[in-house]
Amino acid sequence: MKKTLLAILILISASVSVSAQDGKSIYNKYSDSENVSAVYISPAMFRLIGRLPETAMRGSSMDFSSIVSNLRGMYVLESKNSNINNNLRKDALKFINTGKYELLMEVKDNGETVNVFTAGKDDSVSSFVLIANEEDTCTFICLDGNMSRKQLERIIAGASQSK
Amino acid sequence: MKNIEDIEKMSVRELECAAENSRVEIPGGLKAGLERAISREIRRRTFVRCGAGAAIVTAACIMAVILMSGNPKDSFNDPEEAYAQIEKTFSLISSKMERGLEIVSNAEPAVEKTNGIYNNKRI
Repeated sequence: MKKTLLAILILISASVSVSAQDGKSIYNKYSDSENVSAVYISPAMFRLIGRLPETAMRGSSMDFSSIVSNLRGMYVLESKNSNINNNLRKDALKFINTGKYELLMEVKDNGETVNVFTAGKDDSVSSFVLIANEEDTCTFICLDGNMSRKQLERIIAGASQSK
Repeated sequence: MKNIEDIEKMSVRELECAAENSRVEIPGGLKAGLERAISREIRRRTFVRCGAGAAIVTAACIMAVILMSGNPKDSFNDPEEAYAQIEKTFSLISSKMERGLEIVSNAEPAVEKTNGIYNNKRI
């Protein structure tokens, strides 16, 4: 009897933990909402991108090929729907507060708040999340993979200079 | 009442006859009480089994719904378009973080000055 109850409790807690928020579940929840721009790139598409000839990538201003091969998923949501911005913000923060993320940067400027979080080890990043809140826009970006921290920093810095 | 020695001397058949012939008084209401206890136990076990079954089915349904929700559909069919989107996304990330990095670099001279004063005082 006690063993049965214990097994049931373990099963229920496992199912609850699986249902915890992640980038995919947040994307699934809000991607079809009105006034929400959504972009998803799957692991399979990243593998295809990795096989692109260099000529195709050379046309762009920055070379992302080094990091593309290490990405497993990219979720981008940009919401101009004031009705869901609050909920999107709360879900994103609930996702961050699972414990594995640490705050990398917080910027408050001209009414916009940008929070950047990463998860991983000292030299590698397994997940990168950016949450930007303006008056009428909420942006959520989640990158999953196994990225070198230095490479990621170099690419972000390089992307700003190449504009 | 027989002695123990007499009982030990009796054969198995004699003991069986003695048992069949002896009359043991059954307390009143024992049968009804036993039946009530048995039916209570059966109801309790049925309740526990049904509860356990319901909990397992609920947990299984939750897991099935979550697993079947599946991966979203790729936004692009063309890897080159997807690559262009990656570039745009990193530009967006960079532009959002740029202001913070600018503030840090603007604060750097003030931090260096403070460090200089502090180090001079220590000397």
